[in-house]
Amino acid sequence: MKRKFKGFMKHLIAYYSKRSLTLVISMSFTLVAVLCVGISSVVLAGYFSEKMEEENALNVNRVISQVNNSIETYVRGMMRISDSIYYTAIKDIDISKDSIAKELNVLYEANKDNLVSIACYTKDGKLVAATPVATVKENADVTKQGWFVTAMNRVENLHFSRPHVQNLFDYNPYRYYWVISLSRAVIFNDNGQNEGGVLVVDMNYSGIEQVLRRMNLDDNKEYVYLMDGDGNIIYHPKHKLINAGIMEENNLSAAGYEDGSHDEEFQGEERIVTVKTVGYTGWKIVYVVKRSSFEVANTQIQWFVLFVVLITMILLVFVNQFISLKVAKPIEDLDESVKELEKGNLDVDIYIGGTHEIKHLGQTLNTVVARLRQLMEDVVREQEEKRKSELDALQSQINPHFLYNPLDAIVWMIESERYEEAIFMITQLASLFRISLSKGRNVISIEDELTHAQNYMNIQKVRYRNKFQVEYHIEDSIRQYCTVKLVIQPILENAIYYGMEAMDGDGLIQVKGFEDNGKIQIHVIDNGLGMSSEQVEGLLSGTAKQASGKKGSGVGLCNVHQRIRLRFGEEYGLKITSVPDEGTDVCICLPMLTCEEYYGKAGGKND
Amino acid sequence: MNKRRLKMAVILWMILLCTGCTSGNSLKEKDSTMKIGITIYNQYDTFISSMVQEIMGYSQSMEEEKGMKIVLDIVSAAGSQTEQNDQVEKFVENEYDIIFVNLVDRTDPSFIIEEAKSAGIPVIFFNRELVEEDMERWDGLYYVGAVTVEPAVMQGEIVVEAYEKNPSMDKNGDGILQYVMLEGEAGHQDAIVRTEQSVATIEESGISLEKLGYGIANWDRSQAQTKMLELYKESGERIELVLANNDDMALGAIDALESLGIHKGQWPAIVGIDGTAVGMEAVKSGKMIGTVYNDAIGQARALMDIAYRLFQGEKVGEKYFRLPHSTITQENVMEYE
Amino acid sequence: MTKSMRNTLLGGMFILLMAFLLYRFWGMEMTDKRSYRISVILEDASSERWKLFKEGMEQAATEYHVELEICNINEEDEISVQEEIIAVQRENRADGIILDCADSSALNDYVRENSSIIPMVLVENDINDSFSGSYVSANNREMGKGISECIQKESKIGIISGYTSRNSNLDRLAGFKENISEEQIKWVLQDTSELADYVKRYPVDTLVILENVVADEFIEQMQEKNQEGLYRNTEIWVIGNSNKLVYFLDKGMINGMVVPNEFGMGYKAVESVVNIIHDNQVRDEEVSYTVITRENMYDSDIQRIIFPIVQ
Repeated sequence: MKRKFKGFMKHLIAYYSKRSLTLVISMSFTLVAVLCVGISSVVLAGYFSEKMEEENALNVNRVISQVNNSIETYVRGMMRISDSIYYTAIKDIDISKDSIAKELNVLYEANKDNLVSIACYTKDGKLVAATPVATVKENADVTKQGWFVTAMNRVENLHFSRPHVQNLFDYNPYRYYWVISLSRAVIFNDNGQNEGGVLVVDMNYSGIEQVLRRMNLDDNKEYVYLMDGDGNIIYHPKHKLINAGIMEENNLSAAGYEDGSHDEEFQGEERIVTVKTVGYTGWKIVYVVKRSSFEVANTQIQWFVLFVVLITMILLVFVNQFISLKVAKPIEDLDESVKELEKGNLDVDIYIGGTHEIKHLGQTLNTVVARLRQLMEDVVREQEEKRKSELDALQSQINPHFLYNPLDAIVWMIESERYEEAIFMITQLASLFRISLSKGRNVISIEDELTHAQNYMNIQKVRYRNKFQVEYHIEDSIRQYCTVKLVIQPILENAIYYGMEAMDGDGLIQVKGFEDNGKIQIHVIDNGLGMSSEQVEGLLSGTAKQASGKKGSGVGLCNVHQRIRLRFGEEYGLKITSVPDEGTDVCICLPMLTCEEYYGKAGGKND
Repeated sequence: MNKRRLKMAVILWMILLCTGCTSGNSLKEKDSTMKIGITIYNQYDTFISSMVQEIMGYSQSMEEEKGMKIVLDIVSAAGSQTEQNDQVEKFVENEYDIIFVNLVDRTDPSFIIEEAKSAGIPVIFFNRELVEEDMERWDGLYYVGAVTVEPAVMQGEIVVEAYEKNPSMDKNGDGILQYVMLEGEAGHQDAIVRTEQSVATIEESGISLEKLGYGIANWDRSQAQTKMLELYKESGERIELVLANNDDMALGAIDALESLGIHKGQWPAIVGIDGTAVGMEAVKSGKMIGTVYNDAIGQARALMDIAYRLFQGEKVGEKYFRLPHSTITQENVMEYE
Repeated sequence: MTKSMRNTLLGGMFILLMAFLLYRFWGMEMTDKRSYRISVILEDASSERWKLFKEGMEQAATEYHVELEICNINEEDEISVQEEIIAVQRENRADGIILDCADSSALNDYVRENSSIIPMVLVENDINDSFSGSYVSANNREMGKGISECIQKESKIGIISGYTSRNSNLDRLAGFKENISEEQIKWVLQDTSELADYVKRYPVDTLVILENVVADEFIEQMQEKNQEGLYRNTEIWVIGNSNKLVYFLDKGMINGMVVPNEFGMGYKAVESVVNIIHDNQVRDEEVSYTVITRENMYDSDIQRIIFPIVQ
């Protein structure tokens, strides 16, 4: 079980992490929001529900105490009337002589709001006095009526009857009163004799009925009713229905309940029944609340909660869209751009959009790509240039034009039978060309390069007889290091053509080579015409007329400069110092690298 | 195109929402139905009952005549002002158009006035009059009834005339009419006025009166019967005249005399006020010497007419509508049948 | 606003609307039933005899959220007037009709036809044929029979049955006659117009009045014409319930009353209409009746029937 769960979780997480950003954000956000809203709604609903039940219980108690007070007032009123009559009127007189009619009248007038009648009877049922109406009904046998019987049976108490129709007096035709009778046994003074009798005070039932009716809203869910100690209903909001047999009430069981709240089930419904006993009478106030009333309110709350959740969800979707638009999608678009990049498409339009962080990412990426593009273009250009230089150098290696003069000279020498000079010339040429080729390598030792230079100068010296002198001052330590081939010779060429033209035998070209500060410097110094700074610039940039060309070796200073830099880096190359009319110093700056070292590096392989 | 669809959708949604808001109570009353709530102080009061009967009858003919529907909701307050207040409150809640109130306690109309005023429902008080200050509290209060003093004066005049015609009313011939008074409610305006004024009228005409006794019978026939029995027990045949504040009590006195088996010739002169059907019967049969006609029919119709005018939106300027009385004696009792 | 946002907005509004409507109509339905309007057509609708019946109806009306409209037909009205009222009520979109049918045969067809169009409940009196509505009443036959069991044996009997155009009266008469031999019955009248004559000419020991309206008429006649003496030795039994009858019972002028449960009838009438409207459930309902005499009239359960509590 646990393993399955773990496996499931794993799958879930894996699934989760594979999904797109939009989906992940959507799902997480939705999940969290729904959980939050859901939990808080449920909690709130529960809280409200509880509060409602509490409120309800409080309300029940409030109503009950109100009803209780009203009933007690009503009942006490009745009792006071009964007491007044008995103790102030009846006890004072002799019924054979006096009449208590006046006292009864006064009491009646003072209390007539709820009072129907006051009457005294002898124990045989004969009327002694009554107010306001004293016309006795012919067939009404008082001694058989409930209030009379109970009063005579228990003489020490006051007795409250159930509501009933008064059957004592002749009223306006068709008039009848529903009353509650308070009866007590009394002792009359009949001509000095103690005679037993009954005093009955009849209160209007509508007094009680109104009190209770007002407490009952037209609500099926909860109501309050009144019953006597035995469970007989005194007032019930659905009284008529119960009488007509249409409805039933659980009053008989309720009569057995103690005061307080009880849960009960009646006719399939659950209710909470609260009982309170009224003082003096033993009557019970019963408040019934149906559980379903809570449920209805609960249902309403639930619906409301559902409604709120639904609205939240919709808002969520909306917000999701918004976030998606602003955050997730831009990131995805950016991701797309990157994918394009990966394919190698450097020209891709990087997506710029979304929040400023994402914009920033895009912009930076853009810059990087642009930079990359530029770098790659640079590399390509460099390669191009390299190739061009090499091509030039390659071409110069075997430049036919350069051959003509020396060969002519050799023919002349042989024809003049100056064989030694001829041999010298040929060997110099052979060495020159051999080193020029250098088996196709482009980087050779300085030793070899010097030899090449010397070969060249020797050949040129034959041509330019005694026009100039050459001196070599090379430190031995540098000979082992390497250089790009065909760097010294073109410079010497330039020096000869431009520097030495004007010299008449005074020309001097020095070739110096030494270590300087971790770098190798080879100077070619002449004392010729020199050139202006513009010309210096022109030489290195390749714009000036050069000695190389069709007639020369074909490799210009610019070419040399570039080739050195291409191979070794920008801190190396040519540096020309020149003072017009005084001379020129071309410095070749090289790294202290031996050929093994150079060819050991990866770059060497391309050479 | 899309924007328009969006707008339409929003509008449609709004409309649907609004219809959802109205709670489907499409069964509203038609406008030509006048709902009147009527609360009377006591259903056993003969005069009031006859007024109610007349209102019901008259409203039926009004329905036919005006081609409208009239709904009458008649309840009795059974003598409880609180009950009556509740009833008026219910009328107001159920948006009745007019309310007729026959006050239980004329000193306590405040609740009713406030309820009606705040709901803007006109109230026509009838038969039991409130004080002028209370009537002034709002424009929508009206009163239909009788002139207070008039019936008492007329009652007095009946006695004066009868005495002039038949001096044997003074049984013991002492030139003084010994009488007993049966009064309505203690402290009731009408009871007080009628009691005092009828006696005053008789005395002003020169006849001397001697009061043998009185009883408060609360406008009730059986109570009057009991009181009369008591009074008769005390004064017996000495009673020459019985003045009753209303017909019901006069009839109670008659009941008492009949129950005692006293021969009609020995009876005192009995006079009432109201002119109810039973009262008129008694006049016709000579048991009462006369009564004062309180125009129940006229008052009932006045109530309905005013109600109709108010219902039509008419501004009714007058507040008090008093209908005159007339005397009924054996001679003219036929006219009132 | 992008397309997708607009779509979401629309979708959201739609769902909101649905939810709202759902909440309103379904959620509220649970707590708030729709209000029905029922027309009640009674003969002499404002008469006191309908008081308990109306109370029963009103009680049911509050419970079932029903609006009652009481329509009156007079005794003298032609059948066409009654038919018209039914038609008018039907056209006014009343949800149901409760009818005190004045004439069981004359209105038979009309009622039968209408009962299939609009929910209809007949009270106390039904029609000849069966129809698509409900019938609520006490058992008329049993009530008649009940009286027959209370009266003196071997007495001469005069009967006022009420209009025989009403089946209810015929049933009561039939019920009464079940245990009584024909010879005992001296005369049967429909109303009180010739009563005094008949009583003088053919005196009887027992007078049986089978219907509430004629019973009240009888009492009025007795009072107006001071005929109490005429009936001093006659045992009088009535079917009906009114203040006057009770008063006379108390006084001893009447010997007994058979009282149908009018309150229950009113209540069940409304209930039946609602049942037809709601579930299309047509079912006749019978209410109880009580036999009341001077001896038991003040018993606590009987009291409540003849002395309805306050207003």
